[in-house]
Amino acid sequence: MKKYFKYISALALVAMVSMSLSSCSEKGMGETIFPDVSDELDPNSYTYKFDKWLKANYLDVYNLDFQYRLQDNETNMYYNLEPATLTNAIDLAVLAKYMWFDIYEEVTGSKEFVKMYGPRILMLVGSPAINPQSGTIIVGLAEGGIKVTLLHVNSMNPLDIYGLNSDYFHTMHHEFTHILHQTKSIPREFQLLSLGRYDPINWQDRKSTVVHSLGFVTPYASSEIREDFAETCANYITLTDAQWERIWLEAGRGYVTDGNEDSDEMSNLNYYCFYYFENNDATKDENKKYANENQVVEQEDGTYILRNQYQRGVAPITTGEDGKRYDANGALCDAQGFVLNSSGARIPITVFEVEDADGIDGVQMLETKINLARNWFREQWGIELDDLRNAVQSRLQSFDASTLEDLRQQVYGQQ
Amino acid sequence: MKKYIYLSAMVIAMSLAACAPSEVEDLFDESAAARLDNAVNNYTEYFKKDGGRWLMQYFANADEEGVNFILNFKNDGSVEISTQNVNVGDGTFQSDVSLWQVVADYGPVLSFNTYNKVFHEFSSPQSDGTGHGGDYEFIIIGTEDNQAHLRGKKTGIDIIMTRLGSDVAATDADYFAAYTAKRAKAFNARLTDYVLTTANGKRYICNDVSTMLWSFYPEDGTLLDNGEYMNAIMTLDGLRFMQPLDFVTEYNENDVPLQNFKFQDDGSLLCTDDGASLITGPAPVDALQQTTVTWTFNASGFGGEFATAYTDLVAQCKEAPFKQTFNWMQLRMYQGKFGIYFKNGRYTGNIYLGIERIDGNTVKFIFDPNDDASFDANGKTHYTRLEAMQRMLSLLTSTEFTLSSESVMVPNPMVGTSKANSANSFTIGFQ
Repeated sequence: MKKYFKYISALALVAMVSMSLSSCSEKGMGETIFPDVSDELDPNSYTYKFDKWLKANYLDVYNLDFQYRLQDNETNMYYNLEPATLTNAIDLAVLAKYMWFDIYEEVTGSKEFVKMYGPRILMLVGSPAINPQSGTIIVGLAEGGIKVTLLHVNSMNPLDIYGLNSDYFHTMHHEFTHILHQTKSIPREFQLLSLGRYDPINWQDRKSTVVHSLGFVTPYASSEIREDFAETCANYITLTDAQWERIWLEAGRGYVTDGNEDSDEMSNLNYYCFYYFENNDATKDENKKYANENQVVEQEDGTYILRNQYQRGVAPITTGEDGKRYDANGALCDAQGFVLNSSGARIPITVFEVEDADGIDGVQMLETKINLARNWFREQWGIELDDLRNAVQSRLQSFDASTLEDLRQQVYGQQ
Repeated sequence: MKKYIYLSAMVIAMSLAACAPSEVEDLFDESAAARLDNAVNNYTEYFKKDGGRWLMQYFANADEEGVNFILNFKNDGSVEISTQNVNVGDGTFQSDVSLWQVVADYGPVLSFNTYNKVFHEFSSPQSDGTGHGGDYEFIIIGTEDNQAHLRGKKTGIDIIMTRLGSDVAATDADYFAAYTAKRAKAFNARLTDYVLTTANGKRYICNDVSTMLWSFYPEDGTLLDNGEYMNAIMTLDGLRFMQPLDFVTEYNENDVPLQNFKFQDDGSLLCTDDGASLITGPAPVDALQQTTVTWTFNASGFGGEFATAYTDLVAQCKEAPFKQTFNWMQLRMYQGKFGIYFKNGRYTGNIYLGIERIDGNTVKFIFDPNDDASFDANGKTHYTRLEAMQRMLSLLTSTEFTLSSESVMVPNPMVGTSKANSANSFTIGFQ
């Protein structure tokens, strides 16, 4: 009997709880408290064509909300921001698709990759986010793999494709890389490569030439590991061959400052990759001077001279019995007192490269980072980084005003 | 066994209690989200109705004058915004079209969410990250038929929007043309010492009024010791300070905070909060002695014996010994001395006068021709050799004069009328 009562009690309990729940559902749990939001677009709306295009090309395809109307609760309220112009928002919408989403579709063969891993929200902000205290400027943000924010939209020139590449497409690929590595970690080997050389506080004051020689692709890359990885990937994809040639050149050089790295403000330090001796006189230490590359000319044999500066004769310059001018050391000089060589030409000031003493082979470091990124894309995502780069570079090179007009027509040319 | 009974009873009791129909009626018929959605729709219609034309009295911060925007809300979700402000473009009338929405935020919020070159100038970070620091999203605090009370979402600054009928100005450009003219008539950068008189007669001296960055100090105090500051915005109808003038509240009847003023027919500004406090320009006698203004006699504005004397003065200047064309004659306070400053061809000269204030509108000029301190060299030569100049001085100093102007805000031009003979008068003004 005890046993049956136990079952009866248990059944009663179940019955009562069931009744309770059904009673609750009857009262108020049936419908959502949120009002229905129709996905029908209003044909009379000022932005009907744009909204229709966004729905067809972003929302329906990538499940992505392209937010061109700024709501400040979607932003960091610390910053003063301005909304994007509608005109630029339309241009950036079509260009973002052309230079970002379509690139991944072309390389992966479908829209699924970006649909699966791409952001759910792409938000535009007209101004950059400028920190009034530090002066740092944010032009792009990625938040938890969900949202990418592109800023400074009101300054864009839609016909300057290389400017756009630098300001936006780079940012898009940078932020997308963040989303990807938030899903699959940055290779551990990459994380160890530059450990101890990141500067999360003063990275913005670092010179790009100097960070190249340290194996970072940009000063921002030298701020922390995750930015290093995103910058490496994004710059590998978007920078042109000529831009990379420049980086390789600077990465292979040594740099020195004539200031004090321990006590001077980093932003006030000047760095040089060349030195020379005044009047080619290396006998005195005080004659050693530094030069930047703008002051230097590379000669055909690979050596360097100082631009438009020549060795002067040692005073006094006197006229010899042969009627020619000679300095105190007996060197032949011209009428202005410059020493002449055996061919009768002025002798340039010889310039030397500063020794690369930072202990890092910048070129090798950058190559290693790119290789690790290349392998990570291939192994983790099945994507060839070089294919992404080639697709972007191809579109960059073929882009002209007619490309932009064709893209715009996707929006404006709709019925 | 007992514990099962107790347990069953307890669960049953709790279940019944939890599921018992509420005996209290719902306070609202709809959910909070549905109510917010309705509010958004209602406010959207509210702003669009009756032509959707509004005047927004906008303050970006506490250190800049307020900015008038005319907003034309369209049914298609666009808004045309216009203004005429020194910070926007080249300072001439400007207009731009962008988008607007009432959005559901913490409550209904009026948002201008695509860039408008006219409007967002004040919320742009500019190059320093701060810019003017103004808002482009506004919490809707409350509405009346034709007036909306908003609050800047970031700054917390209160913003008033007033519905404009087409009778106010045919076009937005017309509004700002009328506004510019009215502002020049009400506030002149060269005049100082406007006066705020509270309901019980306490007077405050007000400066920097033409910039709308008002300073105040009690007439019996100083700016240094008792100065207060408040930015303001002028509209065609009146003037509104960004915040109530708390510092005068103690002198005001019923402790009503002064913030809103309305133009009266005579140009003065009457406080609509207490219906009594008044802002006026400097009294004519005070304006006459301000160092920032030089008052030029209107050659065709002399009356009675003044007209004859002036005609004779011009004629006598053409004759020997001067043989010059008389240019102009002014009254001015310069380097601590008040007097007549004139230009006769290549000669300029000063004849100094004392000035005695009889009351706010009456003045007596004093002149002693026997005192060399009453002239500079050219002044004395002209006075000595030109009979008409002597007559002019005599007319000016022999009686008291009543000074009057059509405007109580900017007494320009000003007419001086002899109290002894009202036919004798002069008119002075400044550019």
